[in-house]
Amino acid sequence: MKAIEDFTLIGKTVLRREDSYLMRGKAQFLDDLPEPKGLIHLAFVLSPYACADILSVDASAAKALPGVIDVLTGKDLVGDIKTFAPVIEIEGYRDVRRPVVAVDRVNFVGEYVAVILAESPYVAQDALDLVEVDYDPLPAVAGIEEAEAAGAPVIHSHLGDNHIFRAAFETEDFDARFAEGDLVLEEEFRNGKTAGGMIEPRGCMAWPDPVATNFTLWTPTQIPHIVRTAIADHLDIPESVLRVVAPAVGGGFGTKAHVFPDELIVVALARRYGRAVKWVQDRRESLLTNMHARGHILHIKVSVKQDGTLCGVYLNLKTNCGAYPNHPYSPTLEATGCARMLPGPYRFQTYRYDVSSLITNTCPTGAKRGTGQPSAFLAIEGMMDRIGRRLGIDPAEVRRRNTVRPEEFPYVNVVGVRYDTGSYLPSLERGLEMIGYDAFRAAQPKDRLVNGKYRGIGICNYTEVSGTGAPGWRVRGFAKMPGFDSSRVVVEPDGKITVYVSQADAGQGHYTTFAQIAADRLGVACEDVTVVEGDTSKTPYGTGTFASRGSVVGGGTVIRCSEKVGVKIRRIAGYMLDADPERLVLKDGRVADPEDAGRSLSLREVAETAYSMNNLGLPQGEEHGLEATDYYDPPMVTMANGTHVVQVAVDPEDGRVEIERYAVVHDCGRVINPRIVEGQVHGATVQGIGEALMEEIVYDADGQHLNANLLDYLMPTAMDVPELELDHIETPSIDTVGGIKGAAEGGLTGAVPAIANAVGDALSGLGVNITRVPLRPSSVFEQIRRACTEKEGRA
Amino acid sequence: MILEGETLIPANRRIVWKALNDPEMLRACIPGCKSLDRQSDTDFTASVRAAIGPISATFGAKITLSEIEPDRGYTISGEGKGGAAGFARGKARVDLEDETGGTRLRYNADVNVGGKLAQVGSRLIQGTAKKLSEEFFGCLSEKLSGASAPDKAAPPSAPAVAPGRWLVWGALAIVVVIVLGWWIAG
Amino acid sequence: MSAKKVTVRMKVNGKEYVREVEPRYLLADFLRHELQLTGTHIGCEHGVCGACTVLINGKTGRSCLQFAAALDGAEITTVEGIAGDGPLHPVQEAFHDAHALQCGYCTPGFLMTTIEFLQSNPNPDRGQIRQALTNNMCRCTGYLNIVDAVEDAAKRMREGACGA
Repeated sequence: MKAIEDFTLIGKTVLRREDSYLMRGKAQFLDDLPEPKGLIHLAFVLSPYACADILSVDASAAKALPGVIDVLTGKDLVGDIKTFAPVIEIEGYRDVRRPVVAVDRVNFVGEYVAVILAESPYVAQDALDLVEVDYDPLPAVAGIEEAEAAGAPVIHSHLGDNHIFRAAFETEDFDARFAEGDLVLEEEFRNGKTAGGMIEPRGCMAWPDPVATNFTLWTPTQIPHIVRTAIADHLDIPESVLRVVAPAVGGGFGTKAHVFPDELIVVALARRYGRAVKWVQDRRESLLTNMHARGHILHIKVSVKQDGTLCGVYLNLKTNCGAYPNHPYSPTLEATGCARMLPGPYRFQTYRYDVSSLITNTCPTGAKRGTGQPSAFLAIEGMMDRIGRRLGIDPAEVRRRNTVRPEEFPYVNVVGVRYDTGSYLPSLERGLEMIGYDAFRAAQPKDRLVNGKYRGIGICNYTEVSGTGAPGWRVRGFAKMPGFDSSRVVVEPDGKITVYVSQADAGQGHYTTFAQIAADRLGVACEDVTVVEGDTSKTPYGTGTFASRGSVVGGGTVIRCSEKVGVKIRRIAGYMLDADPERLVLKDGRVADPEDAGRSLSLREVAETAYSMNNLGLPQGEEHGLEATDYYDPPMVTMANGTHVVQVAVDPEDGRVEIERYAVVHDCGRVINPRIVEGQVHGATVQGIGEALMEEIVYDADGQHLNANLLDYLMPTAMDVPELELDHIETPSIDTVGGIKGAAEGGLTGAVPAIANAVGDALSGLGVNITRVPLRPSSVFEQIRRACTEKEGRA
Repeated sequence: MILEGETLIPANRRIVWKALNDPEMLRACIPGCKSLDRQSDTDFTASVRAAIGPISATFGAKITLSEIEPDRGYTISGEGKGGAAGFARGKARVDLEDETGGTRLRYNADVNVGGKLAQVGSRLIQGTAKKLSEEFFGCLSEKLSGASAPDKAAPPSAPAVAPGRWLVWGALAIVVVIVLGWWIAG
Repeated sequence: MSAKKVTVRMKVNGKEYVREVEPRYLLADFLRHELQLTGTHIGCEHGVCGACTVLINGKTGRSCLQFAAALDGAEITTVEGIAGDGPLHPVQEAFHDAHALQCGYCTPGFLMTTIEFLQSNPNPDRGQIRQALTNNMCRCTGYLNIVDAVEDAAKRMREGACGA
């Protein structure tokens, strides 16, 4: 067996095999799949009200339209699909279920009210205009504060109020220890609701067999196995009759890591009508009804010593759940995630948090790249700067004094999460060095005004939860989240290798990286490995691709599984070569005996023996075939880390924030493919720039969604992106297989606080206090104007 | 959202009043208007067919008058449902004054929209409402300047309506234009 | 509502097609569903994201905003027409080498934009490249590798032109 350091392909940039068919326009995304005969196209009637009773639905005109097959309301589907809800078992969580199509009441703008079945998508759209729904509008609540106010309308009456989740945590003697500090600072931070914003809108297509007892669901999902379990459960069908396939997926970012009502509906209708059923959303629906994210209010108090070290932290976090809990995570994902991730790279051991999630009349919120982390670090990193400003200590130095030191690893943080390895201080120092931090600070005037613009620098030192295993999910109440992922590695009779992985790629390059891993472990060329995933009928069960788990858990299982097959290859080859299997080496597609230089076998020759395609026979007790299956449940979590250092210029004339320099240091443990990791860091960082400076889903006080289009929901373009200066530190995990840590989310987590802090630093001379993202020009301009007016007033 | 505007109708009160008593003329001047009917002294319904790109639907509005100050102004509340396109709720204060060269009409409307109109049309609402208002007043002014010629002064088919009623129709038309402007923007 | 169909003649990727379609049928749907050229993707249906960009008579256009019937007689190039099954076009090679695509959904639009852009500006600087690429949205890559790829493609094409 090769030692873990013996990697030949792991750690090398291998260009992606996916690219060719994607660039030739040959990839098959959901809407590119060939359409079966007799396909029914769906369109959903969406609620225009945030809260209303449905008095009547008159579909007679729609049904009369040629090409319309049927129009169904929520009532019509009650017998087909159970009310929809995630399974969450944690104290403080209260069950809320939803009909997949509203029955008596709508609770957010965009909620499905009726479904049209038509022979073509154009006719389905025509029919939408002909369905007359009579609503009785009711008062709506869109914001957290409105939802928890006394006398607020209660959205789900069985709850009694609008809280769906509350949790609290407190370390021993919290009050006494918190009181040991020399001063207490507090602040309230907020972020807007945002969207995953993948360029491919969602859609799905269910395909029944001729007797409508077996179904295939094509859906661009990051979690095909979880989708299958949820559908089987809610439709009361055996999991064995349902196959879920993720075709090419046009970006996921967590949004596509949910189970959606429409996925249940297409399968139910395929069963009901015995025909294939397809639905594809447009951009408006995508921004209106796919999961939103963030929308948090974080009230944080820190107790500090005069030297800037933290004595204790208190967090009160409120999250906006939207009208219903998302499936499968519920709002506890963001709430507990944020609170538990807030300690980050810091050493404090006194912590208390109170979190609550509130039901509002808005689209449900759920997972999006970074989950609670961009919020958590907006708060804790924002406080690091405030501590520095208050005590006259450089903010970088404040961080140094609080960061877990290299000799303290493995370190158990205040909420009990183990940090096995990390480069927290080296990463911070490297980031500062790259940006020329000390020189910038030395040259920075007190009023921060240089050539007509306010210039500042911001830091975010972060940890990144990745590769969460079953224990990590259980502790947060996710009773049905498997946590493990799995693979099956097959050496085919011709010696070529097929790797089946329980993951689902949405652009991460799995078809290349998992091939690299298997090829590395089995001593073959990448080209000899085919990767299959995103299909529940082909791969063993698993959790899927989200929360920076693909490389850790998917990669880990492929390493383990390949090595398992390697053992059998050596056994059979040892028998064929009459050599000790232990000493055989897999290299260059052959099995060689290093103690007998001339003797080796091709993998094909070994496979032919395994598959009984020669006259050699197998050693006694050996089974035919040459494959292995592996289920890998990683530790609770593994922590990646990194540092973002950003230099900005704020134009007081228009409030525009220009990013002048941007340094990223990134440590995701063992790197499988550096180019792909770099791509993940770029992409996540730019999404973070979006969250920091422009992206926000806007609801008015009545719960009307005001920007369900890409002209008004602003995402970064090529003109909004600075050149990123990127450096890697590689500190392999000692807990995960292969030393791998996750890489996909840290960019976003680092960017939002770093940019907010940079703007805060730039405007600190004016007394502007940056507490809310996005920092759109209008809001920055307004804050500058207000600060200047106040200053003049005082003068 | 607050929408404000004013216009000078280039005709004297008598001619304006008579013309505005003619529902046919209002129907002709409200862009896309199919019908405009009085249900009671203070309640009206209107129906407008609008087509913008792929969106095409018939929008129905219910409008109620209140705070009526004869010859001076009214508050008009309008609510309209446009099916898949969404809905709009508006309230407008309309005031009239004599002025050299005609009659000055001022309006101040507060309008809320919902559904598709809000989601994809928010940025277009102000501009579209303005454009439609201009179209409406332009049409009205044009017809009234024509009508001021001696022989055409009295519309032949004007129903017998109590004096002051023209204001109702005029104000109604403005609200319909404003409210439906939002739909069309969607 | 469905209307009387009209005849549309179009030359797509060098091949003549004649189809009967509704006047409201979008070019994107025409290419994708009538001609099965599904490489052109729809991302927003309101002309912002650029995923559906194709070349219409040599100029980039949003296939989600144009009616097929209005383009009777037009010559269209889609992503399938860039290299067919043959060797990759230099722009495609550059995208591959620079890791300028991840999920690849937006990529056909970027390729079409880049091909037109480099024809009009064979030696652009990074600022010009960024400006040209604002017509297209990518949510995966953060654009930097795409800018690198366009820069590299320009170089390859200039060198290729000299070599020829």
